[in-house]
Amino acid sequence: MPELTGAGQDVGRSCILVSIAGKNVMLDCGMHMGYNDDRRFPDFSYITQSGRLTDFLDCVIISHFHLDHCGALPYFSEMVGYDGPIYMTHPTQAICPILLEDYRKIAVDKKGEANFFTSQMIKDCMKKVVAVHLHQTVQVDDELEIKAYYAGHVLGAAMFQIKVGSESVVYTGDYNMTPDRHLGAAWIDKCRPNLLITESTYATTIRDSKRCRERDFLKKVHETVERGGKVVAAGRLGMERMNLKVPIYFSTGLTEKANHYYKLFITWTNQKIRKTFVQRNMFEFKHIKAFDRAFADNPGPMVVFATPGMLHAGQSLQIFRKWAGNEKNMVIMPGYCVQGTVGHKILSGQRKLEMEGRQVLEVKMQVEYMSFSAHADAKGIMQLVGQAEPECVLLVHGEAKKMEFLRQKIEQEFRVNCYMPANGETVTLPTSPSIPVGISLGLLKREMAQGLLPEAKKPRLLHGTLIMKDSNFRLVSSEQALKDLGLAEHQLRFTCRVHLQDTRKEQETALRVYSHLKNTLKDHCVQHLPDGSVTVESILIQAAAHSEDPGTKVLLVSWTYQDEELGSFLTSLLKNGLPQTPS
Amino acid sequence: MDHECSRLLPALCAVLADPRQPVADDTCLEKLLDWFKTVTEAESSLQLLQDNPCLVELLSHVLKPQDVSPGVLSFALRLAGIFAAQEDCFQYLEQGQLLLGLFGEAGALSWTAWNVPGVRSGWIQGLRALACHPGALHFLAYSGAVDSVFSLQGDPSLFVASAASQLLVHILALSLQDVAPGALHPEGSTWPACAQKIVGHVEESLRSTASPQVTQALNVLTSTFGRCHSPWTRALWGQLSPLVAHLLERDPIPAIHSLVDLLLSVARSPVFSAAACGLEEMLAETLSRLSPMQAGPLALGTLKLQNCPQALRDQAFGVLFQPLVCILKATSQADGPPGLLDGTVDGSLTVDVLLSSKSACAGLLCQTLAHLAELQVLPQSLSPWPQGPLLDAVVTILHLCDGSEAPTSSAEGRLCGTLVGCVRVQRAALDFLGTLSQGTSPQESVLRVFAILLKSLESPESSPTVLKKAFQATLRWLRNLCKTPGCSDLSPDTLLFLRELFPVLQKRLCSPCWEVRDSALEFLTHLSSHWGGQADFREALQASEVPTLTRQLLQDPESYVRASAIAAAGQLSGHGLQAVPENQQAQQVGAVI
Repeated sequence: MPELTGAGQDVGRSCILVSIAGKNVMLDCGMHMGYNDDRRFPDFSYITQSGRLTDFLDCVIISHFHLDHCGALPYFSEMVGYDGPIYMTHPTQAICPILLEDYRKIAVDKKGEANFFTSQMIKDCMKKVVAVHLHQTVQVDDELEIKAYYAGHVLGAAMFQIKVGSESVVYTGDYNMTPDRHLGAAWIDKCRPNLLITESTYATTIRDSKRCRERDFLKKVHETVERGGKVVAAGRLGMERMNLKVPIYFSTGLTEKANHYYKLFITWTNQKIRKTFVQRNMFEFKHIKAFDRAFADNPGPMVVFATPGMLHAGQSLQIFRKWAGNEKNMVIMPGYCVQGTVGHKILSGQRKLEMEGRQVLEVKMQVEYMSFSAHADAKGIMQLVGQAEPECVLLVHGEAKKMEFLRQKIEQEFRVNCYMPANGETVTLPTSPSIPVGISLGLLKREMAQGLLPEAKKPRLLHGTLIMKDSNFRLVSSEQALKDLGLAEHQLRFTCRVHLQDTRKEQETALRVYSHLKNTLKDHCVQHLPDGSVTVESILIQAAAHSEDPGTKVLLVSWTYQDEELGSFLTSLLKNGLPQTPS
Repeated sequence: MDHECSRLLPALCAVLADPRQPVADDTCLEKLLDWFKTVTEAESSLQLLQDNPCLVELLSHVLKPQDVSPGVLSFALRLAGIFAAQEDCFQYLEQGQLLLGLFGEAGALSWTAWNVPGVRSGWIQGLRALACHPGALHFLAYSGAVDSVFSLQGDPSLFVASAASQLLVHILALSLQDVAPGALHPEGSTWPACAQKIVGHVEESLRSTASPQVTQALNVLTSTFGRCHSPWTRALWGQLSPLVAHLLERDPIPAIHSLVDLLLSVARSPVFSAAACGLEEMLAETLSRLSPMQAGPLALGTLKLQNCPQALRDQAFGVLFQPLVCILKATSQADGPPGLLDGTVDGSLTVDVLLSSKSACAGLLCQTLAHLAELQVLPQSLSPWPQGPLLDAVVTILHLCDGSEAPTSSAEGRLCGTLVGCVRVQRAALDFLGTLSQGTSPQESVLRVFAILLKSLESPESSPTVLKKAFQATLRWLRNLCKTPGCSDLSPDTLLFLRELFPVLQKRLCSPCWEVRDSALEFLTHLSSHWGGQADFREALQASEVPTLTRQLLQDPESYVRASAIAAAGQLSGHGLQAVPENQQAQQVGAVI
């Protein structure tokens, strides 16, 4: 069912194609921040070899605004040519174009890259977006419906349930099962999907409590500041309760805009923020000022919060480059960094970095990793699987080795199959679709007349004729079916010949058969008809002379399919011969 | 390679070979391969290996794969391929048994890591890189690699399966590129061993009852005929076409999409003409056997052929027009739509699809409209192009979608129920309507088009995406009408239309949806850039509230709309159409910027 174009056993370039009950849905359309060429986007030619993408795909769903989930969207819709609907939540719709535009500026205006989308393309792409509310069931067409659930992670992040008839898939995107300072925890109801596609970035990690991590973070900041160093905290880190007497800045641009959107979509934040917002705006920090590029050269200690968190571009990278050479300084990385980014390199222990133009940057500053990343850890993933109760689980957005550990854990604990396909692999899952069938009133009445009242919990066998018309199924009595379809009834009879050693005349043999059956089958209606034949229910028995052997009589037995069991029983009975009678 | 790089190479190879130093970043390996490619393009690979023995050591180390990560294994396979692309380097590596060790049956195929798709992909890419010279072909034949490529065509990884298929095409083309024109029969022993093997495998697959195998064979052939245009391809088709024709006799026909692609690929090849090799009959037979939905792409592809026989063209047009004919018939507009179809084509199958379900109906109509839009712009489109009936059909579809068509028959009633509010079909119909603006239409038809466009633009039911398409279609019609020779000014009908259009535009500029406000502003910008200098246009525009609203939108809360408002205000201002004194407007624009 799902086919992975990106983010199979890796992080970056999330793009999953799900085919469910004849509908094709693309989940996320991300880019890989570790590449600067064609490899940055998923290879969409694998989606369909023939036909137009717009005809093939029923919709695209974007889980949240991070570029590894939406970065290829304008390329896909405006350059590859997808012209269908794109679904995302309202906050994602608001923030997505800002990040896309920011990335476009870096790639095209600063690095001069070609084959990249333009600002107009970002706008045209965003015009194709249909924004959805949480828990709102959106009917994409008559058969396909989607529903968004809260995912935590970042503002507007959502998990999506995709449903066609009785079949469903849940795609989590990135999510966080523990609330943080700004956002709540992910939640989903017991929707029992056929498949749960879950991220597994921290498949083997069990993290300390948030409070411990914050305490450690503050301790490290204090130590650095005391020795006269500067701190650059990349990405999403708490900005309050620093209790420091040195200047604290946040980078303008993205951070400022992000705060604006947190205010705008206050209902998406956690309860605490919503409550306190009436008295005080939690995003207005008294002691924290906007950062200016010139401040980076100021002497003395300072703390700067700057984005992006993976140091792949923008202000955090600029500051990092300036301060990397001084061992007194510190950079704090808040979470997972995609391969190929500066963040990933320094977290892997690399101390010499090749920057643009073959410049080598020596990293002498302290590099610290504090997992503030808003991904579910192993415990959280298990919790979500337990909540949704899926029939199967598919792990994506993680690293193969870690995923393998989690896969085994899920299979052991929940007794469900768990898959972890690599990029480009297709996983096919059989499902048992339940097809709604209407029952005719006549058939129901007949059943009721037999005194059997329907019970909700006890399945009952009901005989009838199934009529399929205009994609509808209807169970009716066979008589009704014949009438509806304008068909004449044909009767099918099974026949069998039984040879009996009997020298008597045919009529006498028939009489002997009648007496034998009358004695044996007391519960059935056995009749001897004037023409000499014998009937038992619908079964007809006639005696005839054997053409070659006068001492043998041939019994011709015939019955309808309704009396197949009785007919077969009678044939075996007669084959055993008739009881001896005095001659 | 410069000295510094050469100095760093041993350390790099040591890191790659050291299992205690796992390479956590696959993108590094990709970029490293890019670099090696650049280096080997500029200098001799053999020299590179001789100057840097650490590289051969690394490749030899990989032969003991228990220590090596799948990422590095895949890297080494691809790197070996890059080096072996040069024949002298290939021989050097082959003499050392390195290539057989890596690509032979005892190599990558026997490793545990073979289960990792990345390693299989690296193996194929390595082979693809080295398959550049006769020595490589010999190696592929005796190492058993070609047989392994056959099995990888059915790999669970799309990337591996696709690369395997492409590699077979490449090997086939490489083996046959120097075959003498006299030895053109593939059955004869004059064809190289690799080519014989591949053709034999394709034949076997085409005879298979398993659909995936048929698909694989068809895909290999499609790429072969698409890429190779040498005389041997004619001999190949001569041998394989009976097997392809047999596929058409099966019920159901297997691998339909791939079969269509193959037939079109053969028909497009300059080596063939549609009339030759039984291709015309096969195309005609396929067109008649496929369902309307499946036949659409084949019909379009057939009509795009340069020298398509007339009878086949007529049949293909019949397939494309059929859904629209059915729509016109169902809406009682045409007992026989003149110029569209002669009425002899049986449309019962198409009607069944149109009436079967909403998604089937929308799917067929969207595909048909998109195909016709593509066809209309081609120089070899039907002559005379049935502009009138097509306009009727598309206008009818738009009426069915907006619910204004009063059903007069049960079929029409069903169509109304199916299509009403169907945004997908509306968008496709408006796109096609825009394309039809390029044809010449009688005044009466133009008025019908204006009416339906106006209706789409003012309908409260129209979604933002439909409105955007409606604006685009309107602009195309207005532009093309004014391109008519001898018509430099706006015609009275066009002017009347504009006068009715501006109040609608006014309404759209006040839409609560930013997408609609923005599309309306973009439309206004285009309108003004074309006709801003014409007195009638100016008069109609200034009589409306549009300039004032444009000015107000400079303060729109949505930045996209503000940007479009600036563009529109600039355009109006350039033509002296601003609603406020220039200095005041400049202040407003300045404030926005």
